[in-house]
Amino acid sequence: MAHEPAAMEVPVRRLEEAPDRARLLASTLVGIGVVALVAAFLTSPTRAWRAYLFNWLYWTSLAQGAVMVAAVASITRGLWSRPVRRIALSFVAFLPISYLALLPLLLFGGEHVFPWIEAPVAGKEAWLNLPFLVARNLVALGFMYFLSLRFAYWALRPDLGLTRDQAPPQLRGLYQRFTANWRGQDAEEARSFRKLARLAPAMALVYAASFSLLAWDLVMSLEPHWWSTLIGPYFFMAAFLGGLAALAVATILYRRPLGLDGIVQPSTFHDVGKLTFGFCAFWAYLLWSQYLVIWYGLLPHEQEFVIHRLELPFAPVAVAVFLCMFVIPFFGLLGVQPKKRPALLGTFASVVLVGLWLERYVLVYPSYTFSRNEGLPFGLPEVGMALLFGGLFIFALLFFAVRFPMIQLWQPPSELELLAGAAEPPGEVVTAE
Amino acid sequence: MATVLRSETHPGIASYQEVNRDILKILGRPGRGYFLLLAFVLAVLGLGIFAWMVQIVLGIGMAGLRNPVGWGVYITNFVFWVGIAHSGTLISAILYLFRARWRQSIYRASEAMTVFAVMTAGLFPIIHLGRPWIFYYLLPYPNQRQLWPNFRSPLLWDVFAVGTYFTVSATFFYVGMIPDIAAARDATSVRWRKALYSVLSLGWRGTDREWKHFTRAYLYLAALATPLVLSVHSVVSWDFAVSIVPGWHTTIFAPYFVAGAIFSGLAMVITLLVPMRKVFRLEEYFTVHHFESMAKLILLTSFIVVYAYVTEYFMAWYSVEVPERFAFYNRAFGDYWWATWIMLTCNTVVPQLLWLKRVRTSIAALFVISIFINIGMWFERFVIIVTSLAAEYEPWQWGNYQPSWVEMSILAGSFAWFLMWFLLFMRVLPPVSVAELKEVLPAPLRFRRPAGERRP
Amino acid sequence: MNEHVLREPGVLAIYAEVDAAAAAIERLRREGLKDVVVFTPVPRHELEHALHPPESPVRLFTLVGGLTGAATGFALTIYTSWDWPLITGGKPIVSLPPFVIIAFELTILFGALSTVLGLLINARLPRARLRVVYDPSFSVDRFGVFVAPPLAREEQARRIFRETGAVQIRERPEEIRVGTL
Repeated sequence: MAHEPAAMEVPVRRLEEAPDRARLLASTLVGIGVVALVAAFLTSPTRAWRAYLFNWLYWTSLAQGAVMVAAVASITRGLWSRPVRRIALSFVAFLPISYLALLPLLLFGGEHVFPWIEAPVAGKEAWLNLPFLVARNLVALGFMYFLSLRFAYWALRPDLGLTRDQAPPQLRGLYQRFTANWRGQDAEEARSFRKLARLAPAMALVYAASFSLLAWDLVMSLEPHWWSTLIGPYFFMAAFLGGLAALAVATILYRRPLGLDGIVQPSTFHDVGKLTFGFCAFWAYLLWSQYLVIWYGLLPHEQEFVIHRLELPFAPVAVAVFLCMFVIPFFGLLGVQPKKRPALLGTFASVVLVGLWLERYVLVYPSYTFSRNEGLPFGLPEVGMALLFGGLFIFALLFFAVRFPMIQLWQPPSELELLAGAAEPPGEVVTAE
Repeated sequence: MATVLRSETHPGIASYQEVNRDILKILGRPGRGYFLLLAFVLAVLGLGIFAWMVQIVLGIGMAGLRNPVGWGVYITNFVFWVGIAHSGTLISAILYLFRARWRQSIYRASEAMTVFAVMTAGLFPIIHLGRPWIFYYLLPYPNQRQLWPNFRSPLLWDVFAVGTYFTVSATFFYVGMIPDIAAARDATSVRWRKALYSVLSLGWRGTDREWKHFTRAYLYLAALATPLVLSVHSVVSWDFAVSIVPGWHTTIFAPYFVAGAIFSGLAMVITLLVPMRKVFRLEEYFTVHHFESMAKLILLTSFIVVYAYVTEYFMAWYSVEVPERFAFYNRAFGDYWWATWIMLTCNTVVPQLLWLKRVRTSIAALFVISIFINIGMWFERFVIIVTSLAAEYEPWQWGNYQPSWVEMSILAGSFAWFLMWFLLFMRVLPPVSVAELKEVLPAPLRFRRPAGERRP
Repeated sequence: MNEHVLREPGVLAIYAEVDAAAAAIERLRREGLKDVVVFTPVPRHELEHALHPPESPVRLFTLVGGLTGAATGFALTIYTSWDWPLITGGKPIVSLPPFVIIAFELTILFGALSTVLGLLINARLPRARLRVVYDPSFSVDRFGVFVAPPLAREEQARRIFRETGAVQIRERPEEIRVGTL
C-alpha cells in the first residue's frame, strides 16, 4: 500500500490513563462549582441563571469553535494542520454536555434571563416567545452537534481501524463498534475522506446559522429593542477565535503527557500563532464595524446596547475585553518568536481565553440594566459557574484523550499527493521564518 | 521515483525554460485581432468621454440624478469597480499569506485587474462632481482660505482609503513584477522593449542579496495589503451605513460589502482569464484546478452574501420599525422589484450550480456563471443605492430615478477604459509570474531525493 | 546586445542544478571563500541554507513606516479639526472613531512605501552601474555562483566549481560577461 509508510510514521499518541493531576483538578473544580451553584441558586436564582447563561455561552463557544477549526482545516486541506487537527477535534467531547446543559437553562431559567417574557415587545411576539425559542435553538444546535459528532466519527474511523489490533483490552469493544462494517483500510480512508469533504462545508454553513441564532436569541434578545445585523457573525467568529486559542493552549498542555515534541514543530505553533493573531485582528474589525455604525448613527435604540457596556459599572470589563482580545495578543504576537515559542504563544492565547470569557459576560450582564451605584455584579456565582463548566470541560477532553489517538494517523489522499509532489510547498522558501 | 518529477499544480510544465518561453512569448507582436479589439474598446471609450464632456459643458443635470435620488449609476459604478478590485488583492496577498498552492499562475493578471479596476473606480466620484475641475478640494492641503476637509465625513475616508488602495496595490503589483521584467529584459531583442524593461527592472540580477530582501519586502507588503483590502470596501460601505437611511444603516454592511466585493471580483477574474487562456494557450498555466478553486471561493462568498440578505430581511422585520420594514418590502415589491430579483437570482441562485463538480470544472460553464455574477453584483449596488434613496422616511419626498443616456454611456466607457488598460498590460508586461511559477515547479536537481522525504 | 567585457577579478560558475550550486557554496565557505554572490531565477531554500544570511532589516522599515503613518494620521486629523473648529453632524471636534480610519489608512500607506524603500536600499536597487557580473540565463533556469578570491586562490575556486559540476566556468578577465542593463 502506497500510503503505508506515511501513515505509520507517527506513533499512536493516546493518554494511557488520565493524569492524576488533571483528574484531581477537574474534580476539585466541579466540586467547588457545584457548591457555588447551589449557593447561588439559594441566594438569587435570577443571578444564578444569568451566570449560568454566559458561562454556557463561553464554554460552548470554545468547544464548537475548536471543532470548527478542525472542520475548516479539512476544507482548506492545509498540510500544516495535521499535527493539531485531532486535538482540535477532541473538543467535540464537550458538545453533548453543552446540549444537556442547555436544557435546564431553556426549560427552567427562561423567566430569569429573558426580559421579554415579563414585558413582551409589541410586534415581536411571533419571534420572541419561549416555546418557539426553545424549539428552534434545540433543533438548530442539535443539528450542529449531530454534524460535529458525525465528522468526528468519520475522522476517527480509519485511525481506529489502523490501531484496533494494538488497542488495550478496555478499548477493544469501543474500537470494534467504531469500525463496524469495515471495508479494508484503503477503502475506508477513501470513504472517510469523501464523508469529511461533504460534512465539513455543511458544518460551516450550519455553524454560521446556528450560532447566529444563539447570538440573536441568547444575546441580542436580552435587550429586546436592540438589533444589530452583524451580531451573529461577530458572535461566531469570536467563538472561532476562542477555539483557536483553546487549541493553542491545549496543544501546549498536551505536549508532555502525549510526547508531542518532534511531532508538533515550532512551525506548527507558528501557524497556530499566525491564525490566532489574524483572528484577533478580525475580531476587532467586526467589533469596530458595529461600533462605528452605531456611534455615527446616534439612534437611541441602537446606542443603548453600547452605552450599557461603556458606562459604569461595566466599563472596566469592556476595556479589559478589548485589551485581552485585541491589544495584548495583537502586539504580543506581532513578531515571529512569540508565535513560535510555546510559552509565549500559550500566554497570549490564555489572555485571549480570559478575554473571551469576560466578553461573553459583558455581552449578557449589562443587558439587565444594573444601576451604576450598585457596583459590578461579579463574584461567586459568576466564577463558581465558570469552575463548574471548566471542570466538566476538562473531564470531556480527558474522556476523548484516553480513548482516541490524539494525532491523526491516516492521511487523506489529497495530502499524500502533496507529499509525493516534487515541488516544495510555496511559501516554504519565502516565508521561511 | 524514477520518472521525471512533475509539479502537482502544473503537471504540464516540464522545466523552468518552458515557463520563460511560454510566458514571454505573449510579449510578442500582437496580431490584427488584438488591434481590432483595441480599436473597438477605444471607440467605446470615446463614447464615454464624449458623454462626460457633454455633462461637463451642459451641467450635471444631463445625468438622471434628481431629488431625492442624488446617487445613481455613478456611485453604483464606483462601488462596483472598487469591488472588482478586491479579489486581485485577495489572490495576490491573502492567498500568499495562506500559502495557497493555486495562486502562482493567476495572481499577476488578477493584480493587474485590481490596479485597473481602482483606476476606473476612482474616476466616478470625480465624474459625479458638479464641478469636477476642483476635485482637489478633497485633499487636505494648506490653502489661502485656511479651510481643511472634514475628516468626520465618510466621503473623505474614501479619498484616503481608495487613494491608499491604489498606491499600495500598484506598488505591490510593480514590486512583484521586477524579477519578471528582468526576465523579459533578458529575453527580448526589440529595442523599445529592451529599453523599457531595462529601466523598469531596476537592474535586477537575481542575486541572493536581492532575493533575500525582495522576499521579505513582498511578505510585508502582502501583510499590509490584507487588512487594507478589508478596510477599503468597509469604508465604501460606511459611506452608506453611517447615515441613517433605511436599508443603509446596518452594522453588517462592512463585512458584507467585502464579501460581495470578493465574490464579484473573482467572477471578473474568471471572465478575464478564460479568454486569455484560450488565446494565449495557457491551459497548462491556468489549469482547471485553478478555476475550480476560484469557483469554490465564489461559492463561499456567495453564502456570505446570502447570509447578509437573509439577516437584513429578518432584522428589518424584527426591528418593528415602519421605515425599516418598508425599505425592504419596497426593494422586493416596489418600483425596482425587477432590479432586486435580477440581483437575487444572479447572486444567490446561479452560484448554487457550483456545488456540482461538473460545473466547477467546466471552463465554459464558469465563464457564463461569472458573467451572471458580474451583472448580479452591479445590480446589488444599484438596488442598495437607488431603492433606499428613492423612498426614505417621508412619503411626500419619494421619487424615482431613471438613468440617462449620459450615465449609461459613461458606464460603457468605464468598461472600455478598464479593458483598454488590461489589453495594453497583457502585451507589455509579463501577465503571468515567471519567477513565482518556478516555486511550484520541481527544481532542477543533480541528486534527486526520493519523494516524501521533503516534509515530515 | 550591449554586453561588455569586465575587467574585475573573480570567477563565475554557472550551474544547471540547484543542489550542485548549493554544494559549491558550501564548499567555498568551508574552504574560507565566503564572499560569494549567488544568482538564481527563483528563491530556493537550498541556496538560503547554504548561505545562512542574516535576517533582512526590511521589517524595521515596515514597522517604522507604519508607526509614522499612524502618528501622521492622528496628527493631521486632530490638528486640522482644531484649526477650524466647526461642529458638524453633532460630532465632537476631535472625533476619534473616524480619525482611526484615516490613521489606519496612512499606517498602511506609509508602511508599504517605506517597505519598498527598505527593499531598494538594502538590495542596492536601482542599479545604475552598467558593468556588473551577470548572465541572462540567470533569469531562466541557471544558477550562478560568483566569487572574488585573492589571485593566489583563484585556482582553488575554479577547482571547487569544476568538482561540483559547473556547466560553465568563466575565468577572469575576458570571459565574464556583463549585465545587459
